[in-house]
Amino acid sequence: MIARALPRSMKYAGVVAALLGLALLPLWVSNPYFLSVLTLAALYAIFASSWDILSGYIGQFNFGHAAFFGAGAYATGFLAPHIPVALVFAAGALAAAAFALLMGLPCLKLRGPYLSLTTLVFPLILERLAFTFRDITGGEYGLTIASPLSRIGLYYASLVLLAATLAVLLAVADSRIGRTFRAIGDDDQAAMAAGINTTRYKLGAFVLGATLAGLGGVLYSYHLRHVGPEMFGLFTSFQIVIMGVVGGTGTILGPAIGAYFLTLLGESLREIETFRILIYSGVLILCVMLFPRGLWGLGAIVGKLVSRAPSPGAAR
Amino acid sequence: MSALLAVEDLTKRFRGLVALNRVSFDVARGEFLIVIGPNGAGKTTLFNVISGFAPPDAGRVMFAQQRISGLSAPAIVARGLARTFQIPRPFKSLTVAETVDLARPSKAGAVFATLHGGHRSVVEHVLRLVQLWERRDEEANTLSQGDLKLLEVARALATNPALLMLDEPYAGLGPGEMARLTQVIKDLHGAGLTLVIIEHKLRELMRLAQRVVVLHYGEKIGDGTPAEISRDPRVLDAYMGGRGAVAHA
Repeated sequence: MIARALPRSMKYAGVVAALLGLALLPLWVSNPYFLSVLTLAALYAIFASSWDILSGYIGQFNFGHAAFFGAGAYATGFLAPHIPVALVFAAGALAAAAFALLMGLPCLKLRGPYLSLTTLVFPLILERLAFTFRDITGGEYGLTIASPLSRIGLYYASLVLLAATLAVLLAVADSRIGRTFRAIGDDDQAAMAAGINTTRYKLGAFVLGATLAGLGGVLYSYHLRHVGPEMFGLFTSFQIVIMGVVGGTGTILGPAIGAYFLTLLGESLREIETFRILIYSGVLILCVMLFPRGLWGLGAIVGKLVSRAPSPGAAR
Repeated sequence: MSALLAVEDLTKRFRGLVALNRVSFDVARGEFLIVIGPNGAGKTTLFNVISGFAPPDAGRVMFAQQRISGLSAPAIVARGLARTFQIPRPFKSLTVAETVDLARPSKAGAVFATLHGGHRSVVEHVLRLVQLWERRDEEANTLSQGDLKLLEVARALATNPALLMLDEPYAGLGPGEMARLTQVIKDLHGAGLTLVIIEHKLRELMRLAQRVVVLHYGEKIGDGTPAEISRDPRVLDAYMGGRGAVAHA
């Protein structure tokens, strides 16, 4: 597998370097708009990498990841005025995990496309509920949220959460649990024949990804200072899938890179708003056609070529 | 000797087709049983129902005096009953050693207790047994068909079963690989593992087995020693015009 051709130590060193670079960036870049875009990119990187643990590793595409970070965001909307920030994060994570259990228990017994189709529906149900219970959700206007953090504070908070998310996900992905996820993704029935309780592992991956997304959802709503039903819209969830696919599924880091790439691309296209989705979709189609393993796979191929160049004879 | 596996009146239907029709047989602890029958006789369906991959429509399966029909496949593996697939189902993104390492060992098994000696890990032990230890760091999807079949066996063995069911383990193997597999089967049988193997093309294996069960159109038409089966008129009749493997055994 190409993703595994990169030595693990090199991969971790790259992550640390990239995060340090992002942490130092505000020393040179003080433009608040750009900082806010980078905050958004970090949050999307949290959503996309947490999406990857079920969708990329086990191969069960979740088209409803917005249900989880939306749950975190609404939990913030309801609770932020009443309880300390630390408890808001806990509540956001718990709400998302609870939704993952609620969604996972009936869904994960389904195989193939049926799981994906079912996950698609959950955020739409939540969107309807947000409109229906307008007394507490604010209906289509949503809820306004006062952020306890400054812009720069939010930027660093999102980076810290991204670092923690990647650390947790990479630790899981590179462990025996992660290999079990891959095995289930390779062949569900063979995994069962090896004595692996596949339903439990799928549920575990679902809840883990949801919990991290829920934490991201809390920060997301602080960043937007608002939460509304549009968060549960189809495009919100699709965006995460697109970031994952463009970045390279089953790698954790690929989807995070995809999130940065597409967020920055999306913002740079803001001036030609009309064509944004068109260009966005074009990039997706090109990525799928040209690099089926995403930006991560492309990077791995380039990395391999570069490392091979000095001693072609040494290549396996 | 009490039966380790008891299949009782097992029936499985697929729409109109009766794949298994009230099939019953016992397997004693330590026994080596072969299941034969023409293509489409219901052999693989029998395995799927016993191992929890397909629910039976009627009848039940008892394993070590406990009912296992109705349990999930991993729960049955945890009780000590493992199976392989006729067409290998490797974990294509894992290496040979990782594949075996992922198997969840049961507590009931006979394999580790008798064969797992010294300081070798389970993975090393099982891979040496099927002669794949040298290839442990290769990715599973780079193996030959024969090595994949042996990896199937290794993965099943790593669950530490008390009873191992192999579904046509010889299909697609070359002569050298066949000899390797036969040696593995002899070793396992010698170590006291209970074996149920679907195989109808190999006469040598018929000589190793203690008992043969014959399926034909989902019904059991023969059950006895290999010598008895090769003389059974019903069995000969079922194979008439077929491969004739039994008639020459």
